[in-house]
Amino acid sequence: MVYDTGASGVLIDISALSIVDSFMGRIIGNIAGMSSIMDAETVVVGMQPAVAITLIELGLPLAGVHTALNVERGMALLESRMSARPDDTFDADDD
Amino acid sequence: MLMTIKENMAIQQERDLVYCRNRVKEIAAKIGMGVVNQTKLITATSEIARNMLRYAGGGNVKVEVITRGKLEGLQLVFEDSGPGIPDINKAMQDGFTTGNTLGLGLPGAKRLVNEFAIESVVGKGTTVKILKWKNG
Repeated sequence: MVYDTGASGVLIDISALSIVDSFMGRIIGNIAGMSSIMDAETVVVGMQPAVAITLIELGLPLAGVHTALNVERGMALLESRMSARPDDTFDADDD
Repeated sequence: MLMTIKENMAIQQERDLVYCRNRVKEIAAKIGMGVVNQTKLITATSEIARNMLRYAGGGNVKVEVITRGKLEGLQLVFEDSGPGIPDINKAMQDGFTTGNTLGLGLPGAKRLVNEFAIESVVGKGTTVKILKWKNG
């Protein structure tokens, strides 16, 4: 999907999940890793407080995954990261 | 209020994990366990049950409401007749895995509950017993 749409951001809403175990954490990490190789950043949004507490105790790192409180903030985070990217077009330097 | 809840669940396939998680959540909520402790218990349940499915091809989960003095909680016993774990100390280390996973299942589950016991006989099977107090 990242390739087909040329997406530069992936937003995963997990607000409906009442638990995240290491299996699910690994899947989220894999998605983020693959997206990153395809030049897209991943944001996980909507994590319930109890899930966050549990993840820390479980010891799940979720490396390379950005998080935001909700969808709106997640989109804002993605947008700010997109605009902070260096310009994609190659500028020839004449000097 | 005293409740005697005893239940047996078979874990044979992926969808049994979902049923098991939901049932444990229901029972935990019934005895008045808080949301955070519920989440910890269900996560530990999911880790151990998935291990059982993955490495032993399935097994059984016994759920029981336990009272000890003023304490009330849920005890879960996971039994399988899989290949067993040759070195339990190693299996309880963070990051150790034989299955190309994160290696957090058993040590992570232990951190999420109040009591954790594991017994395994190579060639016979593995039994994991966990207990979570409702206010623990």
